[in-house]
Amino acid sequence: MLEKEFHISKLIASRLKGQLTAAEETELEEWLSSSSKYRELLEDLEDEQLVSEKLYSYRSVNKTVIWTKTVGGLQKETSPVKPRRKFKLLVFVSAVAAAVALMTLSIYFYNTSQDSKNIRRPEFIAGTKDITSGKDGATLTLANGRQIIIKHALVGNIASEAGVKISKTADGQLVYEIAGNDVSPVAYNTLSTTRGQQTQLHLPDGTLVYLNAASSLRYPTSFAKSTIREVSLTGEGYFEVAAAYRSFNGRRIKQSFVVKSQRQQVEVLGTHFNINSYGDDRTIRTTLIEGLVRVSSGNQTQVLKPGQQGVLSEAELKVEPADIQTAVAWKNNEFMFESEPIQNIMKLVERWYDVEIVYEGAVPDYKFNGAVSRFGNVSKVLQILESTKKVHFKIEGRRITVSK
Amino acid sequence: MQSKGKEEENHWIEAFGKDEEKALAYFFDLHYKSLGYFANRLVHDNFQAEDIVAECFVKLWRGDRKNQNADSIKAFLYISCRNACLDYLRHLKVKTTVQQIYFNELEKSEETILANIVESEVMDMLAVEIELLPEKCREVFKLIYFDQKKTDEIARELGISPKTVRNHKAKAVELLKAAVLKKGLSGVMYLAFQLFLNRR
Repeated sequence: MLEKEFHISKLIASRLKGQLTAAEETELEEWLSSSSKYRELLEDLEDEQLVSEKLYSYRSVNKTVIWTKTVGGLQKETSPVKPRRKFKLLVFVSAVAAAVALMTLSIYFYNTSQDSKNIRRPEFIAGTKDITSGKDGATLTLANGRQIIIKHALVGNIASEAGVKISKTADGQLVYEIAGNDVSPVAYNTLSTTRGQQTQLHLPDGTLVYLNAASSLRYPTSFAKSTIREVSLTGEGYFEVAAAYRSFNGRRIKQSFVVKSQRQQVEVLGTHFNINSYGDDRTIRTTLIEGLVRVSSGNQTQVLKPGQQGVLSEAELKVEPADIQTAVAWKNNEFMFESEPIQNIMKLVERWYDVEIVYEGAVPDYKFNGAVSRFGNVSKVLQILESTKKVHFKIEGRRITVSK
Repeated sequence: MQSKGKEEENHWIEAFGKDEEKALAYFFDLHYKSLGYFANRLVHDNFQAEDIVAECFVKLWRGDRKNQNADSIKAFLYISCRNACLDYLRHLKVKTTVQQIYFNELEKSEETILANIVESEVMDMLAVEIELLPEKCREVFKLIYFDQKKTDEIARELGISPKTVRNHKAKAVELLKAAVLKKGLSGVMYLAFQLFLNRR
């Protein structure tokens, strides 16, 4: 099917390049004569003005949005009982690196095969130690004030305490499950990460939460008695909210899910979104991947659709188009930044690697693009940034000095 | 260059047949733009076109993954897309004038659709040509042409002086002239680039 059309398009492209053989010319001419529509098409393609307009329209096809919708469509097929087969956005990113890139949206600085031939230790590391990446881990603070350190090693011991169960997902991720505890009055636990830590957990209703470094989530040990499911977040979290119901007068009503952070709250109904709300950042960013959420702050309120983000600055709550891949890259274990000033990137490095950042001299005002795994040593991230020749780094112990 | 491309393509076709998810991402990367362009040409609605294209890839994954080759996958995608677009237009209660005109056209003539498929494929190939331009030339060309950016914006973005940007533009023209002589780029292609380099 369509072999003729695919073949003809190659002939036309060759013709535009002036590279048709005589035989091909004849073949093309035959096709052109078979319909006035075909001849019209060729005339259009030989018109520079039209071609440039077409190329502009071609170019504006949005990869991220369409891929996100594709992933959404693929996830809908599984039944709720089986564990969901996840098409992570990470899959897309790795494939891009491997595939023939026909049209890059921006210039990504991957370590090209040329660079890897000259691999030697980056010169900016003083001394012998490189800085390793952040790791999975967290601290659970119970309602009674007791603190439990959650790490890989302590799998068995925690299980009986405070109804917390630790399990591994099919792809080896550690997930902390809080078994529902219908005791009243409802108690609150706080799960927190320090700089250099990240964690994931399932809440009693099945909602999955990823917590980035230097963040915390305060949640009730049971949602059964509440009218709404409410949690509080500081720092950054990615949520996959499960639909939940409560009984009211013998009927089942949808239970909405609300995430409170400094100065704003986000209300959702079964959806996937990311909230970035660090105390030392001036704006709070809520990115919606799937579903529908309402963001409110003071008396301002905005509804977000997939692919949009709510940006809360000092005074104003705005809705902007979002780059979903970049916003949730951390949860897929990637650093991803597009047109970012160096200060923002170094903030991410500071939190994940738990280092001190110092600026020497003028701050480079270049905008950086890049994508790199979060689990490499810090030198890998810095190497990629340095390869632009717009910035230089020096690592001494746990301090990184940034200069032009 | 050709054989390398073929090897990689075969690798992904095999992977696709083995149900490897990364293979879907490979074919997505390869075809989403031409499909998006095609869908938009049919339904004249960017947002809807995005939904339709996404659906096509979902259908591709849910369909028969074995016994496929590069062309059969591409054909499947275009045909799904065409069908979804026609369905959408057929069921759309309130159409814009453009949509109405186009829909009547599509119902009447199969050639219009086939011509659109050919057009989308040609766009894809033109885009590849642009990618093959030398790096600096391509960078500046894209910023001017695709992002419609002005000289000083480009200067800011690339961290170079406006003078340097203008030098790159001048060099791009020179390189293109040389490319015309070397590759025998048709006068039209050359003029197309020339037109847009001169626009800003």
